[in-house]
Amino acid sequence: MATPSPDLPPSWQRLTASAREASAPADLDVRVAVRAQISAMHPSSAGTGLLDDVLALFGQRWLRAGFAVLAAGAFWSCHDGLDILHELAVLSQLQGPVIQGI
Amino acid sequence: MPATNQTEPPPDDDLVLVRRAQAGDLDAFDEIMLRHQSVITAMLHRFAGNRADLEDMVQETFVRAWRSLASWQPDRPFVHWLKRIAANMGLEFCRKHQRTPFSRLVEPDEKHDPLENIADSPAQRDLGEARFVLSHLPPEDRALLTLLHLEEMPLAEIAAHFGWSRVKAKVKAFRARQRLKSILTQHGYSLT
Repeated sequence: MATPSPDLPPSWQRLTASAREASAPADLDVRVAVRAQISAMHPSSAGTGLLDDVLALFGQRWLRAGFAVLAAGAFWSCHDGLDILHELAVLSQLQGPVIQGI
Repeated sequence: MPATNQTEPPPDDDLVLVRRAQAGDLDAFDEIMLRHQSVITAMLHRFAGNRADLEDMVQETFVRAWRSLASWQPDRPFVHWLKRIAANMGLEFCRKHQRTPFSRLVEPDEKHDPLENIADSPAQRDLGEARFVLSHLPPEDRALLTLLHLEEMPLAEIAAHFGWSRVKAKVKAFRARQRLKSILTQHGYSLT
């Protein structure tokens, strides 16, 4: 005990010596809880693995070159398309005066 | 009985199990937990007063060990590596449960936690009292003196666990003891 005599102040050394004798709960077993937590971690790590694979795929040169070709094709398609739209817009503007003249 | 006096299995026994666990074998990790959880529980029991906190800390220690299992090198015994994780869990616990000006309001509950299911023996009461006195220190001092005075862990080992140099650990221990002295005086204790 920390207080052997009521006359003397309690000693820290005696207190810690006694405290060291205190035993931890012997029935504490965390194995099931740890296994459950580890098993719950696995799906997320699998998901991260898939994401890593996809990101790694985007780092491939051939895929980036493919995307660049697609982007260029889309640009030229839109460019041609814009010309046609422009002509249609001019025609629609002319339509009013032409019809009026007739 | 201090945890440091407990019999530890030779590192070679752990090596085979750790290698299996590193390959993802959960049964091997289960065996590792079975071997070392009493040592880790005894060590963390110096920090946590109630069973729920203790259980959380032991559990988190093993979960962290599993996560960083790949980083373990066989040049040091596995149990030392595990104790390092546990020591840092203890430090984290001290940081989370740092005394604030409002702590006075919950003082009686901290000394005799109702969740404590262990028989209220004199040793348990003294451990509670020692924890209470140490809780007045800053987190790093509290963790350091808990390991030094209650776990009887050598200062060099504490320094290695917390990533401090030996000189830094000595300086920190000196300052922590000075702070402890004034707290002990306030609580009517003598150091010897």
